[in-house]
Amino acid sequence: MNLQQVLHEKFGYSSFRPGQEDVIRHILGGRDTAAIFPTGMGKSLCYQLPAYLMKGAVIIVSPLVALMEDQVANLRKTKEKRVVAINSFLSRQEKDLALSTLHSYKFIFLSPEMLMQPHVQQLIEQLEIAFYVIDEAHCISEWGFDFRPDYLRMKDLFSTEHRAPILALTATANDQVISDIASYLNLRNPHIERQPIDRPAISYRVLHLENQLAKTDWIVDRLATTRGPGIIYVASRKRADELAAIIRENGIRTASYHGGKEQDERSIIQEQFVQGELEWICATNAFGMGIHKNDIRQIIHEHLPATPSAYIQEVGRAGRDGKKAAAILLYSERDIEKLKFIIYEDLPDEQQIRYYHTLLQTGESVKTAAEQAGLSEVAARLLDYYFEQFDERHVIQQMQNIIEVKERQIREMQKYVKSEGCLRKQLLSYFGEKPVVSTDDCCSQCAVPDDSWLMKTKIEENHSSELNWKERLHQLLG
Amino acid sequence: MKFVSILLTMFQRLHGERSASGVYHILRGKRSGQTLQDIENYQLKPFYALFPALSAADFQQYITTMLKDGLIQTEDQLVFVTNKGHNQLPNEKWRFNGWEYRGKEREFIKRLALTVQTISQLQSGETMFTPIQKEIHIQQFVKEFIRSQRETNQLATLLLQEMESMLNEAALSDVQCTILMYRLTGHRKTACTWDQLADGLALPVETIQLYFLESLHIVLDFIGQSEDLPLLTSLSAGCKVEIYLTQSAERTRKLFQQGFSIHQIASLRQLKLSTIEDHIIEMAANNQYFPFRQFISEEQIEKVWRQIDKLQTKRLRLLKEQSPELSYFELRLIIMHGRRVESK
Repeated sequence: MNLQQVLHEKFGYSSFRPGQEDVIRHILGGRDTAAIFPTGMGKSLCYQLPAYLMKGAVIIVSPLVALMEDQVANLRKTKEKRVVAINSFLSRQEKDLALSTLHSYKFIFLSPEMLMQPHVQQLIEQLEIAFYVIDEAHCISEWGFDFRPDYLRMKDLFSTEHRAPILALTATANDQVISDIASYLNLRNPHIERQPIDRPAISYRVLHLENQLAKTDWIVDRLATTRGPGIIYVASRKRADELAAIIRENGIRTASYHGGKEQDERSIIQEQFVQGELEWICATNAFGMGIHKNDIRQIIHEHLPATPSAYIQEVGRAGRDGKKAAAILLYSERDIEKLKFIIYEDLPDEQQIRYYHTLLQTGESVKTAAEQAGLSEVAARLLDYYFEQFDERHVIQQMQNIIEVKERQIREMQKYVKSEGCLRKQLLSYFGEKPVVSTDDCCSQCAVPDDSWLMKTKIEENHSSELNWKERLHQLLG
Repeated sequence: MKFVSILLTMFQRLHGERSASGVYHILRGKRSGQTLQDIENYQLKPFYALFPALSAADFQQYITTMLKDGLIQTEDQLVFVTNKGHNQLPNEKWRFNGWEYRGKEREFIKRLALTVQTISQLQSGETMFTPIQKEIHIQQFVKEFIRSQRETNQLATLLLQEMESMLNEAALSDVQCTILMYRLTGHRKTACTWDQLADGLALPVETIQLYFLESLHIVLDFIGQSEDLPLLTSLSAGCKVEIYLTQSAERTRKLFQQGFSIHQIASLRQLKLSTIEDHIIEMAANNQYFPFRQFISEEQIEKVWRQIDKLQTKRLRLLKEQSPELSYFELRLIIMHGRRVESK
C-alpha cells in the first residue's frame, strides 16, 4: 500500500512531515514505538494514518478530557464517524451506550481511569486491536512535568505476551523520561523517533525586572508598540483577570482565560482568539491545549514556569506557520521563591504522610483523611497509589525523590533565566539537544533583539460599534 | 439587578424565620421536604434552583459582606433584614421562574447557540468549524434537530422569524434582547464575553448575567404558551420540569394512591417514617388537589392558623408549644394548607 496515496486521499496532505513516515512504518510492522514530536508537528497523524491500513480498532489513552475531545473533533472533521471518547464526563447512559457498541468504532479514546476499570478491560479484550496509543506518555514518569499516578497503573496491562503494539506519543521528554516510558509501558525493543524540539523561528529573551509593577508597566508598553496575536502566561487566575483588565483599559483587545471560567465563556474566548477578534490572552497554564492557531507571534511569561518542559511546550504554541515569533520571559528575583512556595504547597511532607496513613488505618475515609491531613486532591491521589505498593518508609522516600526532581527542574529554570551564554543552547541542553541551525535572531544573549518585524504598523482604531440586537439577529441568520 | 438584592428579597420574605443556609438550599434547588415547604410557605418558588452550581464558599462570601454592610443581621442563626437592608430592597419586579426550569434553562440556550452557529456556518458554505458547545449531548441534540429539519436556507428563515417574534413579543427589556443575541455565535461573528457585554452596556458583569438568566425564563415561559413557534418549541423540549417529585417521592405517591397508609408505606419500603412524611409534604407542595383532610381536620387547621396570626410566626417550634397534641408533620401540613387558602 502506498502511504503517500493514503496521506493524500484521507488527509489531503501532499507530503509527510519529518519523522512521521518512519513512525508509521514501524507501527505497521508491529513494532513498539515511542515518538517524541514537538507540539504541532503532526503527532496525531502517526496513529490516524496506520489505523486505515490495519484491521481492528485503535485504543487511544489520553490523560486530559479537553485533549481527548479536541482529537475526536479533529477526526470528525476528516469525516471519520467511527470515533468515540469514553471519560468521566459522560453520563451513565452515554457511557453504557458507548460501551455496548464498542465494536463498531475504529478510534476508541479512553481516559486512564476508564481503561483501568475491569469491565472496560473485559470489553476491550473481546475486540480486535490494531495497536494502542498512549498520548502524553511523559505523564507516566515522575520525571515528567505532569506526572499522573493513573498512568502508572497501566503498566500491568501491557505485560501480556501477545499484545498489540504500543505507540507512545509525547511532545517533550529527556532521556530519563524516555527510559521511564519504555520500562513502565513494557515496550519491547522500541523504535524511538525523536524530532528536534528546537524551533529556529522562535527567538528567546529573558528580561530582568524589579517587581510585578515593573512587569505590568513593561507589558503595557510592549503591547502598545508591538503586535500580537499573543499569549501572556501568569501564575494565578486572579492575576489573569487583573492583568487583562489593565491591558483592556489601554484599548487593546484582551481577555483572561483560566479554569475558573465557565465552559461557555472559555469556548467563546478561544474562538474569538482563533478568529482574530481578540489580540491577546492573559492566561494560566490552562490555556493552549487544543488551540489551532498558526499565527501566534508572541508568548510572554510573567511568571516562572515550573519546568523546562512546561516552558518549551508553552512557547511552542508560537509561530506554527513557520514565521518569526518571540518568547519572552520576565523575571524578577523573588520568582524562584514564589515558584517553590507553589510547588511545596501541593506536596505532602513527612509529617503529613504519616498522619494521613494513620488516619486511613483507623478507618477514616480517603476524603476526610486527606482533609484532616491538609492534603490537596492531587497529593492524596498520589499517596493512595504509593500506599498500594509500598510501606510507609518507602512512600516517604518516594515523595522525597519527587521533591528532588522538582527542585532539579527549578534549578534548570534558574540556570535558564540567569544564563550568560546562549539561551537557546541552555534550554535545549536539558533535553540533550543542540540548536539545529544558527539564526540571526537567536536570543537576547546572542544579540540585542531586533523587534522591527513586530512593530505595529498602523494605529488600530478602537471600533466598538453600537450594540444592536435586531441587526445582530439578521447577521446571524439573515 | 444584583445578586445581593435577590438575597435581600428572599430574606425579607422569610421574615427572620430561616437561617442563611435555608436560602442557600433554595438557590441550589435542594429537594428536601424542608426546602420544598419553605418555597411554598414563603412564596419563594421563583428563586428555586436559580443557581444549581453555587458553591458554599461563594454564598458565604456574600453573606459575610451583607453582614458587614449592615444589610442583614443574625440572631441564633436566623437572618433578619435590617432597616438599611429594607431601604435597599429592589423596586424592579423579578420575573424569574426557577421552579419550572431548575437549571435546565441553560440547556435551552446551549442548544440554541449551537443551532444558530451551525446554520450560520452552513449558510456561508462552511462545513468544518469548531463547535461553540463542547458538551456531547448538546452536540447530539442539535445534530438530530438539524437533520430532522428541511434544507438550511429555509430553516434559517423560519428560525429567524420565530426568534424575531420571541424577542418582540416576550416582554423582554431591550438590554435583555441585546444580551441574548450577543451571546450567540455565527460565521465570523463570535459571541461576546461577559466582560465585553459589560463594557458595551455599561453594566456590571453580575447584573448582565442575572438579566441573562431571567430572560431565559421569560423566553421559555413565552415559548411554552405559544402555539406557532415549532422550532423553538423543539429546542426547548425537556427544559421545563415535568415530574416535580423526586424519584423516591414518586414511588411513595404511587403506594399512597393505592390506598396504603404512611406507616404501611414506611414498612413496605423499609424507610423511616419521617422520610415518608417528607414525601407527603413534597406531594402536598406539588398537588393542588392534595387530600389534606386525610391527615388534619378543619378544627386543627383553624386553631393553628389563629396562633400563626397571633404570634406572627410560622416557626414550628413555637407553634408546637401552643399545640403539643399535634405532630410536627401535622403542623407542616397545616401551614402548607393555610397558605393555599390565603392565596385563593
